[in-house]
Amino acid sequence: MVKQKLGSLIVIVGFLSIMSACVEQSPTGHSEKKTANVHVSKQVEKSCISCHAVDQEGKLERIESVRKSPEGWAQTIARMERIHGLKITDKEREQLVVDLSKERGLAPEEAEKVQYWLANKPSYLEANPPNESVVKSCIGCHAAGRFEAQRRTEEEWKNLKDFHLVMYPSIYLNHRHTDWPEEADKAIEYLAKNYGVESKVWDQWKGNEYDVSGKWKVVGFQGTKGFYLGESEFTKSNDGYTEKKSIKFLKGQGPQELSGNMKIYTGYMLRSHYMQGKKKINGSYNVTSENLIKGDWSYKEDLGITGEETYYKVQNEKPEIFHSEPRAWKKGTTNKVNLYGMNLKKLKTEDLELPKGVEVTKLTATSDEQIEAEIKVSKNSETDTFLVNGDKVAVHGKFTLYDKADYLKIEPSYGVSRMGDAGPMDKVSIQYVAYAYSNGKDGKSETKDDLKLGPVEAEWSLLTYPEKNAKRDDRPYIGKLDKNGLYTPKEEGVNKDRTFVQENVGSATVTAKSIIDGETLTTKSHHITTVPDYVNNIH
Amino acid sequence: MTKKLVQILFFVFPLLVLSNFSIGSAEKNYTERVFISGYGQIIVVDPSVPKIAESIEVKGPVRDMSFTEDGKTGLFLANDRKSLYVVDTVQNKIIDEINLQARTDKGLLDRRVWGSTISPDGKKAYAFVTQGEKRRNSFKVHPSKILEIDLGSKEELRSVEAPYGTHVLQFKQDDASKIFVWGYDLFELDLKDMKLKLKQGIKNPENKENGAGNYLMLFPRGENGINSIPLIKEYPDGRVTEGIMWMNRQSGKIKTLEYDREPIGMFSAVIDKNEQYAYTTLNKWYKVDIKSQKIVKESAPPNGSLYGVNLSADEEKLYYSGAGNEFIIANKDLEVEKHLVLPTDTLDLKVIKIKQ
Ligand code: HEC
Ligand code: HEC
Repeated sequence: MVKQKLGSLIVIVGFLSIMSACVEQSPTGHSEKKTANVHVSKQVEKSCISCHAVDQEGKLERIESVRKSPEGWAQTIARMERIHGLKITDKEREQLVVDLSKERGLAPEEAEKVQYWLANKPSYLEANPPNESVVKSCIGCHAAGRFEAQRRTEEEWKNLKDFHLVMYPSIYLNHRHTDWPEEADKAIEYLAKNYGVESKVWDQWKGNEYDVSGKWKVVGFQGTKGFYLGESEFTKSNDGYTEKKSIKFLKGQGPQELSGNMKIYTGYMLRSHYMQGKKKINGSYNVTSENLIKGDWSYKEDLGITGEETYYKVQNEKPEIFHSEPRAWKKGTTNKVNLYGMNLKKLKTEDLELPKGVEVTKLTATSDEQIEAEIKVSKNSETDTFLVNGDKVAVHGKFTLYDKADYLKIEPSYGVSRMGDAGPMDKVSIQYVAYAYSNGKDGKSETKDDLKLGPVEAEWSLLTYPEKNAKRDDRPYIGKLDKNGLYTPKEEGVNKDRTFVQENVGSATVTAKSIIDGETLTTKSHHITTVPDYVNNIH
Repeated sequence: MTKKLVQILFFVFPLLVLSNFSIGSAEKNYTERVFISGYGQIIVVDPSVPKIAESIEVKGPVRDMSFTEDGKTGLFLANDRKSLYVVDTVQNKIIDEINLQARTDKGLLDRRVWGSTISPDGKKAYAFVTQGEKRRNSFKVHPSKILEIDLGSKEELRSVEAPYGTHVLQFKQDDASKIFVWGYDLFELDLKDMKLKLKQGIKNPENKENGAGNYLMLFPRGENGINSIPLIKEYPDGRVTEGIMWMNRQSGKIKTLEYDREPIGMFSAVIDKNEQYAYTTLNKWYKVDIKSQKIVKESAPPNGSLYGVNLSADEEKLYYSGAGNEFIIANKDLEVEKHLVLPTDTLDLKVIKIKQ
């Protein structure tokens, strides 16, 4: 007798954009003309035409009225198999996703906004869609990413209403806070207007493909462990690439070796499968220019262990800086800064164009990859973020000038971890990270001009929820929070030691304390441990 | 020999007196049975022991349960809301399975029932259905309807369009020409002309100041003449309260109460026929005094959440089930007296007087 008292909470996700100024360059991919009489591809015709005939406009019904990501196509095909009886082999399925993403995919600009969803990052807070009806009727069961990662004709948007009502007729009972059919009409009108199938960016992109062979430098960030640097090399294989990657955390032992296989979808979406020792890691990356790849990775067996990475193509021409420790420089002092990149021995102080009041007083290249610098920032310089320019140097990412670290924030602000590992379901851990913020120009916290200064080391602790007068202390049962902020949940199933609540579910308050420039800052956030994501076709 | 007879008489006499007494006082011309909606079976419990009287096999979890006036026939919804089962409750045998799936010229018409009832005479069934047409490569919704089905011929006789949100059909007491149709709001279906009209706004009240009511009546009550359900009310000023809504099935009059507690979410409620006390259940058990609108007693289900609470036929005991595989008898001070383990997890329970 298993009773679930907590409904499967939908984890809403959001994306931490990797700070980097990407200089868009036009890809050198070769445009491939579609063979006139093939609908999408031979494989698509073979597998789909029995139910999806060619309509009066010469299109495969439904299929040629939508565009989706590889993940979106995979989910639709999975449903064709699961409930409509489509029969295909693993190889055919793989080919279908490749073909459909190529002919009916998303442009890089369209995919960028939903990368958090494509990468399936748990525990990030997805911003609410701007349309009220979409909020009311569409994000109760799955993330907005699911449909914002699609482009559809007006008719296809309208079909979704019928699809949901027929597939999930209980929708009007679990959505009785609103009049679902009416609200969905309004939501769909908005989506049809903003996510139509026709787009310039897609017309421009379709048919292009990047070649990522060669050597790359890597900068990554993994919550609880910090930044890391690495080297990577891609080699072409039969149906994609193989990659060898070596990374080393700035604070920690190393290096760690990874090897992976990857496919390229729609000419720019890399989907990687790595092995690091015995650990399986999945990566979801986008090539954003000839010399830049950005993306996310996570452990196959614990989606909560995750990081984000940027790749920079190796070149020998000029100094290129892609990481700085720290990136936020305090006003009125001389900041000790480590700059990381390539060809750095060639860098001269005068190559860096810095804002008024910012001066490099010392620049020592310890290798081609690292510079130790001293940067003096005057009290009168402007509190703000800025880019560093220069003809003779490439500098990625934004820098910040600030007066003082005023407060901390924990990410994720609402952590949802999931029990697992006892049965077929994997657990989902949480990497808590504390970020320092400055109040910015207006001196007020939590306003638009506040400056995020970067991750800071913190002392972590777990309190009851609520902190005072909690009716129950769930902490002994739900898991543990390490001293670096890593939260690991317990296994699912009945725990006989508990009264009333039967499983290792519950909530707690996470607190972080950090001493910055002699001042102690503390903050807290909410944590829950819930049931495994049994219904994992909803995300 | 005579001594023995005396002994026997001595032993039997009080029994005779007592049983005579109990029959006499309650005019017990019925058999009490509890019907529990299980997974893949209707579990029939004899609460006087308590013991399982019968398990009637059906497809999938059992949803709506309704009964004729004499209690001798029941209508059960199961099979993923696709089939209505007509059951002889005296013999505990399935008489008929009525599958409501249909076809159109373009494909299957997938009809799911959300609210069904058998007529008091057992001749007809009424079911609210959502309709989804499954074509070769697309799904299309058709308007949702209340169907009238002849249980003899299994034919659909009449139908009327009904609004989304409907989920309970319940006959007016002592008037077989009217059905109360519970959805977001309360409607009344007049069977004379098969016309549906709004009876009372609940989610959309006439006067917004009275608060918008939100309820999910998966487990309607009303065998004692009063249908009751936990109710969450939201007021224009943002206030949210929890309480109970109930309706006298004869007059059709609705009353509500709100208790002064943080809403914790309750799943079902039952009210005695004298409208003195209400009992609610989910993660907690409340006993609410209706006059003062106060929770006068509270406790918790012993083994985790329970969805369903009901009153025994004589209204002397409380019965709980729904969620886990258990049936509990408690006294009206919410103290557990008896516990019966059931063969499957469950959803709800109905207490029926089967006429003898
Ligand atoms: C056995 C019949 C059948 C086959 C084969 C089939 N489909 Fe479908 N397809 C359906 C049905 C039925 C629907 C409508 C219900 C739904 O969306 O699940 C549908 C809907 C769709 C939709 C619209 C979904 C949306 O809302 O975006 C797409 C796209 C689609 N199919 C793609 C495919 C592709 C690609 C293939 C071949 C790999 C395929 N189908 C093969 C029956 C089929
Ligand atoms: C009751 C829960 C629920 C609500 C509310 C809901 N969805 Fe969904 N939706 C689902 C589920 C479950 C799926 C997955 C279907 C599958 O592939 O099995 C889904 C799938 C989808 C898909 C993917 C279909 C495909 O084949 O690619 C889109 C797009 C979508 N929903 C859009 C919407 C929009 C737009 C709304 C609001 C109008 C909405 N959803 C509201 C449950 C919901």
